[in-house]
Amino acid sequence: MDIERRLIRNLDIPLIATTLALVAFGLVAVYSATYSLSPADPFVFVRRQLVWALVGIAGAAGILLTDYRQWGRLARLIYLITLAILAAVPLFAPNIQGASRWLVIGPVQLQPAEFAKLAVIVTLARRLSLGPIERPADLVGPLLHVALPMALIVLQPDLGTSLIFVVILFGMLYVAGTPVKYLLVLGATGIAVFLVAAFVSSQGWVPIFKEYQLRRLFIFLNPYQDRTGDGWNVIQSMIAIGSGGFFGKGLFAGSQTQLAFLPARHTDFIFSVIAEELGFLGAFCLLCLYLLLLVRGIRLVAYAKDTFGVLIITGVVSMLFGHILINVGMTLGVMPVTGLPLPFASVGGTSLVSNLLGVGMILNVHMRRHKILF
Amino acid sequence: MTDRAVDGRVKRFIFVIFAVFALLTARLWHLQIVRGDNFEAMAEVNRIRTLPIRAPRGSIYDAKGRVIVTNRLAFTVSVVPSGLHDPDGSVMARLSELLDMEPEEIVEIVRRGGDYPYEPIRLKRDVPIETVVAIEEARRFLPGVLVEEEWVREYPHGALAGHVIGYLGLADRDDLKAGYSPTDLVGKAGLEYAFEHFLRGQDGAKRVEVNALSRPTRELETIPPVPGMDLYLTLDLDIQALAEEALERGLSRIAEQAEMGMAGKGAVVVLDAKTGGVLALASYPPLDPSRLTGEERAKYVEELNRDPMRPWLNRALRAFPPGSTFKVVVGVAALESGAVGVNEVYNATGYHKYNKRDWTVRQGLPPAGPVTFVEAMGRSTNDYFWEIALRPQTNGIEGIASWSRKFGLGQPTGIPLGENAEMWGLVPTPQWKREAYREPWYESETMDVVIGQGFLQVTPLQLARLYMAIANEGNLYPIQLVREIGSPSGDVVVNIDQNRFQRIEAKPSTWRALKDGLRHVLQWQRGTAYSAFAGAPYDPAGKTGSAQTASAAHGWFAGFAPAHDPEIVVVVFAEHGESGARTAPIAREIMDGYFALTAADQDPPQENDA
Repeated sequence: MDIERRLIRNLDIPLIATTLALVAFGLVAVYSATYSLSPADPFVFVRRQLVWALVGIAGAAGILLTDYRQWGRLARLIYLITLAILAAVPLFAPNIQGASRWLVIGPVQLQPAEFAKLAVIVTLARRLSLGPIERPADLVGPLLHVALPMALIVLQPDLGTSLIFVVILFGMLYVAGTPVKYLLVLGATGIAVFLVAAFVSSQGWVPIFKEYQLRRLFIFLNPYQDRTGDGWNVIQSMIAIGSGGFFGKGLFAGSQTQLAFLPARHTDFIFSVIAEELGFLGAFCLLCLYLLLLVRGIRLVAYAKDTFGVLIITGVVSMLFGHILINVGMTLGVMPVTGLPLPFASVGGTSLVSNLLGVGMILNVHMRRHKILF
Repeated sequence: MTDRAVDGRVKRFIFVIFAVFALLTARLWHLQIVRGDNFEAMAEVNRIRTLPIRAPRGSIYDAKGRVIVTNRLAFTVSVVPSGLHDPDGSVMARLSELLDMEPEEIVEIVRRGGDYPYEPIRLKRDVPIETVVAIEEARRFLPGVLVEEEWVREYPHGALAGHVIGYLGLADRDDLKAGYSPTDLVGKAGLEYAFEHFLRGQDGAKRVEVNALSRPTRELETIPPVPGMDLYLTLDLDIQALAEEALERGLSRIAEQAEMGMAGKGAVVVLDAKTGGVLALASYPPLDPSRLTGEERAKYVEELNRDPMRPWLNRALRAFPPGSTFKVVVGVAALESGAVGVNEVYNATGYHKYNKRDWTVRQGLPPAGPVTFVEAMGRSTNDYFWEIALRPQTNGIEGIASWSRKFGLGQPTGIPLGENAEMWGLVPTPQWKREAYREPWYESETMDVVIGQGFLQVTPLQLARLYMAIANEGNLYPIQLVREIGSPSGDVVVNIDQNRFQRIEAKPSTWRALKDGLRHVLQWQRGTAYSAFAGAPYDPAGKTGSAQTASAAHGWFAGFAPAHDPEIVVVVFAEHGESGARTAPIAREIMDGYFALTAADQDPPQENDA
């Protein structure tokens, strides 16, 4: 227990404080977005979210008890189990709004793709830590490593989450020292492949993407072309945010939020709720908290004692960064509508838990920065 | 990889993170600060809805205060385009099922709906309560769909007086310019059209806060509607009903007897002889305003358009040659000019010598022989009227035209059914013919006019007004239809001046001779319509007429009763009815009915307490 106490002293307090602040911020926004949905019990969403937060914190604490280096030895097993679960999702998951993403276990719904991100981060970190990427051929392994689970998630279909895999892959490859020109070629190839896939789908030749997916993906370029349909969400979000002004309309007093003009306001568009009710001031504070979290997180790389640890931290930070960029960008009308949650704020148990576990992983690497002397 | 290399890459990673956050913050600033006012206005427009509170349209009452047209509250289903959130077309599909309309039809109505995405566009009026309940139950699947309470026209007497009431129709382009919205109903014909301005009222409004489903959450402000004004008519529903029934029965009789198969159409005008008030005015075939306002309008319009009898026409206001009913004007012209004396006996030989050619009255009829003015009128002796018309003192066509104009022919009667509702008819003169045809006037054309044919054109309403002036010996009242316009609260009342009239000056002996002549037509055994009025106890006077046309002749009757103290004027017109005499029974039925009604009014039935 002596050792444990020393490890606890190594916990990074600013990172923990920032994370908890974000969770608290999220709970307030969730309350504002949901209290009118169930007048009999206005706290029903908040309470559920709070329970998930506690589960996530407990999970993160559990992670801290293990040594991250042990995860590397289990990498192959973790990877196979992840693939098996993802492959099983379409068989067991009920179809909800056209997608089979959730596994229902008793009263809880789990989204395996959320945990798959963490699993891929750990296993990819392991693979990349074994040897540097010096030739293009060295990229094949990591690419396939990410492509396999990502393909299963695309099939659910869940374009947003699969996009996060791309962000994670690039972040980790970059920090792992992959030559930048490889990454540029890889990025360009990826975009080209996507555009070709989008084109053949839109022409109806090969149904890689569904027509509605493409429409939603590109609607942000001109939401007014379908004002009452696909463009509705983006337009209402921009109205909500824009009408908030500098100081906002006041907590619980945003007309777009409270009168339900803002769709998916407690999940995908929670940022719009904050920006409408708390204005530029509140939204900017929230962005600063996220910035603090990411920068603090990635800075901890400096303390990691091995490449495996470096890449775990990088992977988690990339994941959070990708979520924030894509979600906030979507609410601001500059990113495609993909239905990605905002970390720590959007209602959604699996997402909250996996993000807290991710923070736990960073803390774990950071905590075990010094060699433990026997 | 060295720590230093990792360090460099992490620094650049941090830079990317900062850059992205800077961009997001810039965008946030742009939306909230630069364009903030803009979006705030859009949020207000989202939140606040101005819902119209429809003003009830004015009602129309008959002479005895009985309702002819009123309103009832009904449900209208509308859609607010800005609130319509229909990404997958499910709202349209649901609506089309609920309203039993084609989705394309709904889309078309919404598209035409106008430039105001926040104004409700009516999809269907007068929907049954079951549909309203179904819509309310499906409320959360129908964002932007609105159920409004709205007044719809109610016609308790169906098609009765349809041509007078007129009908409503959707606003057309001119109406839109006048401030109507495309789904507003506007008066298109008859009183509904002519008094649109009074009947319409002014819609109020309710500013409410609504949620995304267009469901009101809070009321902000209410502007009450101003109901439309009511019309009180001179028209009497009882007389209108009996006139319409008599006309329909009579015309079907005439159609059976007609040889050329063009009969069956016609009109009736009944005037109050002492005021010029219209007691009844009907055209056949009738027009049913309730079907023209309701949902089956398109079908009915199609039906009316296809009908060869052209029910759209209000034949009481269309001009036709009046036949021998016009002889009264010739009579006044000759008597007043001194061309003929009341007691002068003229030997009618059955033909008239004109330009070395004989004009025969009618093949196979015995000549009338020696007749006075009154007898000639009673027997409608053509050659007598040719004779007196062509005597120099009468001044021929000029004299006749001058008297025609004094009696209001060739000019509108002023019936308030809207401009262009009535034809002016035509009183031909040599000058008119020179201008219209670049030809001189021939005396034979005067002889045509004398017996109410040729160029002469008169509407049944003009003829009724003319006979009214004879009945009351020279008072040419303007035609009255609306006595009073009043707001339902009684605050505003517009009285229509009934006392202004033109006076036609003629010798009392002339008026007497005219009336006696018209009495002879109906009460003298040799009168042309004696049999139709045999035994009528109310001292009827009148004249039949048949006007030759290029095809079948028109049949006419014009008369009044009682001749000694006239109460009503009745004109019956049977388009291509082929015979004037056959219109007389229709007039008889109407006069009988009228006097039976007034008798009943004066002696209300005794309580049976035995």
